[in-house]
Parts: sequence; C-alpha cells; structure tokens
Amino acid sequence: MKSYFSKNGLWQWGCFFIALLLLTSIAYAANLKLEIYLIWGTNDEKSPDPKYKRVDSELEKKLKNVFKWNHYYEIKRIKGDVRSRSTKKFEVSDKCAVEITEMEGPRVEVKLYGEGKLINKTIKSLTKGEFFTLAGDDKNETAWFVIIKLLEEN
Amino acid sequence: MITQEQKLKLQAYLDGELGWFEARKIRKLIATDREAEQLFNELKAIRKLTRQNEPEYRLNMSREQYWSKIERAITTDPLTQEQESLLTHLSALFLMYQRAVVSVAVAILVLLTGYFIINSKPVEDYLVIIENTSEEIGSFSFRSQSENMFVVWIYNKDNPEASNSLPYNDELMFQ
Repeated sequence: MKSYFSKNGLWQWGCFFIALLLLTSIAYAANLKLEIYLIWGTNDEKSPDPKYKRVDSELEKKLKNVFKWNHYYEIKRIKGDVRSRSTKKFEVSDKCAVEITEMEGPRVEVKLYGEGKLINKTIKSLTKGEFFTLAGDDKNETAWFVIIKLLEEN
Repeated sequence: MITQEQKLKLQAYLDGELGWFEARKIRKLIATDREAEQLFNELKAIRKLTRQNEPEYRLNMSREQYWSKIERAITTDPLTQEQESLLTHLSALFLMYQRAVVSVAVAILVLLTGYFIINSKPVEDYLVIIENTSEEIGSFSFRSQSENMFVVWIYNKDNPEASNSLPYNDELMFQ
C-alpha cells in the first residue's frame, strides 16, 4: 500500500482523476443539432405564397392542438449545429433571426431579433423532442411561429 | 502477630485441606490468638458470602458431554484442506492484481459519481427566464404537456386584442 501514497503514486492518481473529470465534463458539454422552422399560421385555405408548403400532417396536428389557426405553412426550415458553450445565429427570414447559445447544463439562451433589433431573450432547458416555440400574431388574423427542435445532442 | 504461613494455613484449614495434626495446631492458634481468630472469622464470612452469591450455571447436558463438545470444537479443523487452498489461491490472486483491482474499483466509483452528478438536474434547469427588450412588446409563456411544446407568445402591447387571440385550452399551463 505504501506505493499508492508515495509522492509519485499521488501524482499518478491525481492525473488519473483529472483525466476522468475532464472526460466526464467533455461528455457533459453538448453539441446541439437543431432544426428551426419558420411557420405561418392562417385560417385561409390558400397559401399566402405559392412557394410555401403546408407543414407535414404530424406537425400540423400538433400545432392545431395548441393554437387556434387551421392551416400552417412552412416558410423556412434550417438544420444547424450549435457547438458546446458557443453561439450561433440563424437567419429565419429577411427580417427575423434567432441567436442560440449553448449554456451550462441542458439550457440554451435564445435571442429573437426582428429587423435587426433584439425583441426577446429566453433561457430555458431544451430537451430532445421538445418543441420550443416563439410565436406572435400578425395582421389579418395570422400568426408566425419560430419552432426550435433539438434533434440530437452529442 | 501471626505469620504469612499461619495466614495461609488458616485459609487451608477453612477449606478442609489440612491433616489432622495441622488442623489441631490451627484450632489451638485460633483459640489462643485474637488476631488469628479475627482473621479466621473474616475468611469464614467471606466464604459464606461468595458461596451464597455465586451465580449458578446449570448445564442442559452432562458434564462429560459438555467438555467433550468443547474438545471436539478445539481439535476439529475449521477449514478443509481444499477450502484452505482455495482461500490461499484467491488471496494470492488478489495480491498479484491488487493495483488493477483497486484502479478499476476507483474508476467505477468516479464514473458512477459523474453519472449521478450529470443526471441530477439542479433547480435552475427547470426555470425559464424570459426577457423582453422593448417596452412595447409583451409576452407570456405556456406549456402543452401532451404536445411537448413550450411557447413564448410575443405580442404588441399597443394591440390589446393580440394577447387574447389564443384559444383557451384547459390543458395549457400558463407560466
């Protein structure tokens, strides 16, 4: 037992523990794989722009269960990564952008910009499969939705 | 003054260990010497007390059986030869791989500790912080458990109807 606690032995144990802790913290720091949607909600049957397609039936059902609008059109869909402890800005339209920061723990900070101006900042934990939605209403009884979905974290 | 030898003989007389001649001499000493008489009486009183107050241990078997049981327990080898050799082999193996065994045990302990730290969520993780940067903008948030959706609804304060444009749903948890 003497060798375990000799000066050299202690150094070896110290290095071993530090390496293990580093490995653990690296494993804990997550790179996020996200999917971001910009969706338009309306009660009109007709798409506001022929380029916009209806969202898939599963997402539409989900949105209908929460919001009052009958039809939802996908304006843009972005897939992107946010590396651990870093920030990335996603342009969801000409006027709208979201900036996502991966924070300590499972939390993210999401900043919503409208016409270059910071409108809202939200800090919350993001779990896989959860739909984090920033939304608001617009003219002619329509609404916009920015949906952030965590696809994977590694 | 009685001697040490006389004191011992007094005790022996009391225990009935002296021969006739010696016993006669001690009886004479007790009768003539006051100190010897006093010591004899004290010894007698002590013997009486100890005999009366000695705890009695009753065996539920015969005396011979009791002692032969103890003898068997002492003489019988607690381990068979095979068991002993297995034990020796195992302890030799442990000594040989002591470092590896201890290292693996410590590594498992550290990993388990790390796992539990990671999986224990602090309270802050459940909190949501929402900040609106403009005075004209208002917001409220709610969660739909069934759809696994968290919503931050942003509205213009100048348009009060906007905040009422959501359908009310019992399932929604406003926060």
